[in-house]
Amino acid sequence: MHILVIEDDQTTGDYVATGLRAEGHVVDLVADGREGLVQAMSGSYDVMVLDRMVPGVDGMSILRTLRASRKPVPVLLLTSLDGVEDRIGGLNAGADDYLVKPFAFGELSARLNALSRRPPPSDEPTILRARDLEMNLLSRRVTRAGQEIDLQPREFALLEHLLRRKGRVQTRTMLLESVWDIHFDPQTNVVESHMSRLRGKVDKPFETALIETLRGSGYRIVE
Amino acid sequence: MIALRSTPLRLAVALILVFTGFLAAGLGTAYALMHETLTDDIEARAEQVIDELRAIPEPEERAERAAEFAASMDPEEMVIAARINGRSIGHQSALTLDEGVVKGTATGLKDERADSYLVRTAEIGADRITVLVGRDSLAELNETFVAILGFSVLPALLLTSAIGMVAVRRTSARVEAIRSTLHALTEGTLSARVSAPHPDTDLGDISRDLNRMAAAQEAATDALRQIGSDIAHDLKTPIQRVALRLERLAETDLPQTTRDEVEAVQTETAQIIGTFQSLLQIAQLEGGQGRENFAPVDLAGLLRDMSEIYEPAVEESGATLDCRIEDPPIVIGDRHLLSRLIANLVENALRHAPGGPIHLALRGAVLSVSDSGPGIVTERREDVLRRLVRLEASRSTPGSGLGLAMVKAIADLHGARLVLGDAQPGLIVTVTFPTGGVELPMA
Repeated sequence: MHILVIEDDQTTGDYVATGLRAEGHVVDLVADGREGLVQAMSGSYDVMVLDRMVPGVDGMSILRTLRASRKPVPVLLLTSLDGVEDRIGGLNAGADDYLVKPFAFGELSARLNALSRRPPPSDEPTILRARDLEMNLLSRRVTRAGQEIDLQPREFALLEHLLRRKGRVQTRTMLLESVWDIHFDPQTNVVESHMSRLRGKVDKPFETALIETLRGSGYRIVE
Repeated sequence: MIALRSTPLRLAVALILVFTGFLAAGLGTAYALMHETLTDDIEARAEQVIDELRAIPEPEERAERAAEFAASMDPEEMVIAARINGRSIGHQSALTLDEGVVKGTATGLKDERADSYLVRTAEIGADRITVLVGRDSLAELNETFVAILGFSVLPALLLTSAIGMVAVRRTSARVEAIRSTLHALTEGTLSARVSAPHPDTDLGDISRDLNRMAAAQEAATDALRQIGSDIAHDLKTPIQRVALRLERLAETDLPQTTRDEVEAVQTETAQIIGTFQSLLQIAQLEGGQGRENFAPVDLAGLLRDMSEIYEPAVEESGATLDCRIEDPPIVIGDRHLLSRLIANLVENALRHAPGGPIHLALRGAVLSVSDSGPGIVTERREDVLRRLVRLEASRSTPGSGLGLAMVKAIADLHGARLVLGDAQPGLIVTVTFPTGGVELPMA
């Protein structure tokens, strides 16, 4: 992927760029808002990381300019304050996702992968599959190796979310936001508990596990 | 309608009452004095005629004199009737009247007569004299006083009342402006000011003093916020760097002991970040931020969702969670903040009452979370709502000490009342939401 990172703190920017390059992406790092705007408008990027507070032209202005000129590139906004308004303001200005500083690199990487590979809404499948697991979105039935699995509505939603992003890591925070609409970090291991219940139904009665835990970063369904 | 609590209104009413009282007393006294003088005068005139006739020794001469009087008098002012020396003089029909006040019609007089008369009689030997004095002057006195009342006192009273009401309205408007400004300031709208204070009045002075006080308060709060946001900004970047460096360190090949140590440091760093963000968010909420996103929220649905989210984790910890909903309301608020409020209360219960049942309930606009833990002694209940306060007994349990402070800040933002009570045993936290929606301060 070709990624543009607009971040004024050099250390943070370098770490992010190095990390993304190590994952095989091509990264352009810009520390100044004015230059960032020029790059964003002229270059052709798969995804952008934009700090809300950069010198020159601030992140929100860059975002608005991009959206006004109908650039469809997905943008992840880095916000400095954990304020509800910052989040809603960023999403209203046209950001596709946001991340509150300080963030973990794994979280950023997972979110960028999710953003760049958003399927177009037109080709919505009605059946999701992972190896011998099959989820019918119309009848809302789930089977594995021909055996019916009975899921609670929220367990179904969680599994559906993972299946739709098969092979990609979903962090705890991403799951909390998309499956439960929770936008803060609970002090209790709520995600882990739900995941363990889901595993009990989807993986435990069978020989191989479909849901993988990636230590320190999140979960994914194997391809 | 101007409330009866209004001081200017009370003063105006009191002033009008005092004014009316004095006027009534003055007029009443004047009337009484004049009435007395006139009555005395009428009395004296009757006595004078009788005395004069009594003083004439010769009956014939007395009869002559009485006849002269009777002929010369205007019957509206005085009427004389007498029988002297066997001779009838004047209007005989009046001769037999008793002493006292009689109506004009009772005298037997024809057209020219007064409305009432004072009757005096005298017996001189075999003679009888009756003198009637007209009392029309008293009637005129009454008319005069009615005229005074009608043409000067009542208009003056009406005028005074009208002026009073105008003054009350204007003063009340100024007092109301001061009151609403104070209210807005208390609600956290520090930019509220009394607009256009009246020059050269005490209320104007109070308004200007209030504006100066509000400006000083706003400046101080702004300075504090600026410091807070400066600290936040200056610390964010280094913390971000530490977090990223640790993350990279954890990915390298490390001996197990070092790896454990790095993971412990990462956990601590996450804790620092959490505390830091909570502090910033509480400060923002206390500053009134977040009301912009208020919308109707289905509190019952939200409570059910939160209960469902926490249920597996609660069960895993060996406790139970149940949720009862009666008569669910729609509250005006921020869904995400309200979910945080519920989450913090559930986590607080999990932390301080491990293994015991946790009850969530929503009865009307009253949300409650109760546990069966040790509870909080009455004297310390206010304390735990403050930032970073943790009671000695809970030092060993994890937590930042910000959970309940955050709950309080969110409740305050929603105009809800937060009460910590005794669940016997355990702690019950109730949040009572306003039913008529949240009063939003004017921008």
